[in-house]
Amino acid sequence: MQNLMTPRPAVIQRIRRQTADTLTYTLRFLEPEVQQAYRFSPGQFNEVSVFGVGEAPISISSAADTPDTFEHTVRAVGNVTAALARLMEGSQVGVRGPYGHGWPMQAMAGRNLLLIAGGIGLAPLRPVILEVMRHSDRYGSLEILYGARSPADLLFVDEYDVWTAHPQIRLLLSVDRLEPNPPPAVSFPGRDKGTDKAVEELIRRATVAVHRYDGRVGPVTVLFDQMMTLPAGTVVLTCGPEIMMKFVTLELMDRGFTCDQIYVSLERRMECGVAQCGHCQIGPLYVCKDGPVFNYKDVRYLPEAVF
Amino acid sequence: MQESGRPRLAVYKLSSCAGCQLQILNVEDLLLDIAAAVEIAYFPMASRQMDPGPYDIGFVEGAVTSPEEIQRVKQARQQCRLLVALGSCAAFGGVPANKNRFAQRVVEQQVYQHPEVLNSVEARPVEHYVRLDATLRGCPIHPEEFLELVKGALIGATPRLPNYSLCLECRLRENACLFAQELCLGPITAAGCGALCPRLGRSCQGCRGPAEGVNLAGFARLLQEKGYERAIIQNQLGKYAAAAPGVALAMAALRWEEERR
Amino acid sequence: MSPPAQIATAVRVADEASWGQLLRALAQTYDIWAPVAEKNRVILRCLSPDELDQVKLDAPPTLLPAKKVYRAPEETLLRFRKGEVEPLGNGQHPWALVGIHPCDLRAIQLLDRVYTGFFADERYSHRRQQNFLVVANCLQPFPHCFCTSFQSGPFARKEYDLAVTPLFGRHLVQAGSAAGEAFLRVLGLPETTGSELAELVAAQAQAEQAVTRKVNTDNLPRLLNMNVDHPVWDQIADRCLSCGACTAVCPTCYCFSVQDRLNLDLQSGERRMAWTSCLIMEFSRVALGHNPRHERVARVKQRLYHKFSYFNDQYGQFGCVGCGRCVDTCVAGIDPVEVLAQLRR
Repeated sequence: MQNLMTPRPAVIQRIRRQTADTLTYTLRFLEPEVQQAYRFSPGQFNEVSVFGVGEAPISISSAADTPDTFEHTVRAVGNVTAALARLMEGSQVGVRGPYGHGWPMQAMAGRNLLLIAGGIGLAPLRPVILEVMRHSDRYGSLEILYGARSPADLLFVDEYDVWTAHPQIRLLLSVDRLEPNPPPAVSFPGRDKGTDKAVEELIRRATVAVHRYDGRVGPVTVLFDQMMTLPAGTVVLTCGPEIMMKFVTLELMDRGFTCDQIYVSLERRMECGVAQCGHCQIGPLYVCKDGPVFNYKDVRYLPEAVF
Repeated sequence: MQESGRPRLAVYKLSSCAGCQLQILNVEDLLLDIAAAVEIAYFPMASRQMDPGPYDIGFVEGAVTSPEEIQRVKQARQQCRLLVALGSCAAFGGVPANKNRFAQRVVEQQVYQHPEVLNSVEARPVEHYVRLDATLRGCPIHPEEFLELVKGALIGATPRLPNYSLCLECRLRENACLFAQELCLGPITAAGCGALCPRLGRSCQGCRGPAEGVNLAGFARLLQEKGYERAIIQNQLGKYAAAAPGVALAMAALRWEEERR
Repeated sequence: MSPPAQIATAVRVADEASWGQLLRALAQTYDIWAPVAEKNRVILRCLSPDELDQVKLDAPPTLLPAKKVYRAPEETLLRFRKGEVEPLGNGQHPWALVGIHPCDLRAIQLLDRVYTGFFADERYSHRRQQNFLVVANCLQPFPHCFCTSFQSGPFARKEYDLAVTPLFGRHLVQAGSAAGEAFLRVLGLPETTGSELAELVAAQAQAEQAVTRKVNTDNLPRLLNMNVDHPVWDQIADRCLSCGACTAVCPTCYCFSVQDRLNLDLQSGERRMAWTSCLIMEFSRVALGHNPRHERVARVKQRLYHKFSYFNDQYGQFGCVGCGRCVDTCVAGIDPVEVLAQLRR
C-alpha cells in the first residue's frame, strides 16, 4: 500500500564536498520508472528520509532538465542532515516529491534576473542559474549577489568561473568575516578516514579559500552599491536567513524595486510536505504547498514573518 | 571509540538514590541485545570492572551536593564525548534540592548529629557546572527513553524526547482530568511518562521537571486563585525540580510575596 | 437562528427493543464505536457485541472526539528494514460510529477537507469510505456548547447515514444516505405518524434555543485580522499554560508530528505519526534553532486565528464546530467565546 507519505528508494550516486559542513548529493531513484516520471521545477523541494533518523524537506539544487539524476546540497545542521553527511556513495535513502511552488519561471521569461542569496540559500537558486546558462535566449541579464559566513563557506566555488564566463551572468560575493569558522561539530566518519585528516583538509581548504577570495566583507547588502541591475524589467529572487531577506527587501524597496517583482523562499518546520501536518503554516498559507517561494507582496504583512 | 569499535559507556553516581541506575539494570536484557554494539566500561553499581576513560557516552545520576562531586562531574565531562543527565536529580536537582530552600547550616543541624563532619553545598543540577548533551527526565527515568538515547548515540542522532506539557499526553490517553480536585503539576511538567500517575488516579507530582517554555508565573497565579497557599505551591513546585532555574525563580518569587505580606 | 433541518426521508420509530435490534444488526457488518461512560469520564471506544447496551446517546462530549478513529493519537505510518520500506495496510475492520454528536459529525467533514482536499491521504480516505455514521441529535446542550453559531448542531443536517433522536422513550430514526435508507428498510421499522414528526420539529427548535452561548460570526475573520494587537491576546497569553490540552481534544485540530523509531537491531523500525499541538514550543522550531512562534502570545494567537480566520481562507469554512471541549478541558479557563466577544467590545 503506497501512501501519500511513503518515500521511494533512491541511490546516492555521487557526493561532492562543498564546505566543511555542506555536501552535494547526486541521487537517482532506484526504480527506473519512478526516475523517468520524476520532474521538478527550480525552487521545489523533496522530502528526504534516512530511515531510523527521520525525514527532512530539502531543496533541489540541480538543473531541472537533467532526466537521469537530481541533486541536493545539504548543510549538516540537524539529525537527518547530519545522518546524510555520514552516508557513502552507493547508500540508499528515501525520497518523495517534488513539493511546493518553485521560482516563477513564467514571470521570469524575457526579464532580467537578480538573485540574492545567503549561505545555503544559494542551493535552491542554482537550478535557476543553470537554466539561464542553458537557455540564455529566454532571459535578460542575470546578476547574483551571494553572501556567506566566510570564504570557506561559499558554495559551488568550483562553478563560479563557468558562471561568470557566461556573457549574461555577473557574480558578486560578500562574507561576514574572512577568518574561517571553527571546525564543525559534525565530523564525517567513514568518508574522511579519521577526524584529524578531515580537520586538516578543512583547514587547508579554508586557507585556500581566504587566499583566493576577492569579494567584499560585510552582509550581502554591502554589494548593493556595485549592483548593475535596475528595477525596470527585473525579477528578484532571494533565499537565505529571514533576517537577511528582511534587509534585502528593505534595501530593494529603497532602490525603487516594488514588492510584486520580488520573490522570497521561506523556511519553516515541515513534517509532511503535503499540507497536512500543520507545522509550516504562516497565517493562511502552507509553506509546503503554497510556497516555499512566495511573491513578497503576499507574505509581507503576515504574522510572525520577520518582513 | 576503542579498538573494538563499540562505544564505551560510563555511569556515574552523585547524590541520589540509585533508582535511575536500577532502571538501567532493569532493561539490561534489552541492553545486552545492543551490547554487541555497546561496551559497559564503567558502571560501579553493576560491575566490579572499572575501565579507565575516555568514554563515548557518560550518564550522570544524582544532584551535585559537595565539592568532591563538583570535581567528579567536571572530570566526567572531560572523560565523556557525550554527557547525559540521568534522571531528575542530575537534571533539576531532584529530591536533594529540597534542602536549598533552607540555609545550609540549618538543614545540616536538623538532619545530622555531628554536622561539623559534613562538607556539603547547595544541591545543583549537573548543568550548573558542566555542559550536557542530553537529559533523561524522571524520578526514576523511563527505561524506554534511556534505550532511545543509546540507540540515538549509536546512529549519531539526538532522539526527540518529549519536552512538552504532560497535559497533552494525558488528554491523548483519555485520562479524566484531576486538576479540579487536586494540585496536579501536569500543565507545567514534561510529558514522556505515559501520564502514569493520572492514569492511576493520582495527580502529577512533577517528577519529570518543567516542560519547555512553561508559564510558571501563570500557573502559580492560577493555583492561588484556586485557593492554594503559597507555601503549598512552593512545596509542590520544588518537590523534584527546586534547582531548575525557572522553578527556583518562581519559588523565590512566591517566598518573597509571602514575606512581604 | 438557523432554519430547522430538512427532514429528507421518512422518520421511523424504534422502541427500546428494536433499537437494540438495530445495533445488533449494525454490529454484524461493523465494529461499533460509541460513547461509553467509564470511570468518571465518557470516551469513544470500540464495543464488543455483548456491550451494545452501553451505548450512550445523551452522553456529554467524549473526551477525545471522533478524529481519533480516523487517525489514532499515535499511529504507524510505515515500517522499514535496512532502507527498504515495508508496505502497511489500511488496517481496521469497517466501523460504525454510533451516537456521535452533530458537531463531531461536522468536524469529520472539516477533516475531510484537510486530509483529502489538497492532497488525498489514502489511508484516511479508505477509512472514511467504509465507515457508517449514526449521529445522535442533542436535545439538551452541555455547559460549554456553542454549536448553533457554526450551524453544526444541535441537530445534524447532512452527510450521515442515520440520525437518531431519543424522544419520549423512543428513538426516532432518519436515514441520511442510500446506505442508511437501505439498512432501515431491511430492518422494517415502522414509519411515524404526523404527531411524532411534529414532536421532532418542536424538539429541534427547542434544542436550538437552549444553546445560549453564541459567537457572533459576522465578519469574524476580518475582525480578527483587524485586531492582531488587541490587548486581549496578551491577557490570555498570560493565563495560557501552553499545555496543548485544548488542541488534543479539539475535533478539528489535525496537526501531527512524524518520528522514526528504530528497533534494537538498529536496522529496522517504524515511522510514527503522533498528534501534536501548535501551543508547544518546539512546534515551529527549525533545524538551526529559529522559532517563528517562540513567544507564547504568538502560539495562542495561532490557535484561535486558525480556527476563526485562516481555516476560512484555506478551506472556506470556520475551523470550529462549537463543541466546547477546549473550554471543558482548559485548566486556565480560557474560553474562545469570551475572547471573541472581547474583540467586539
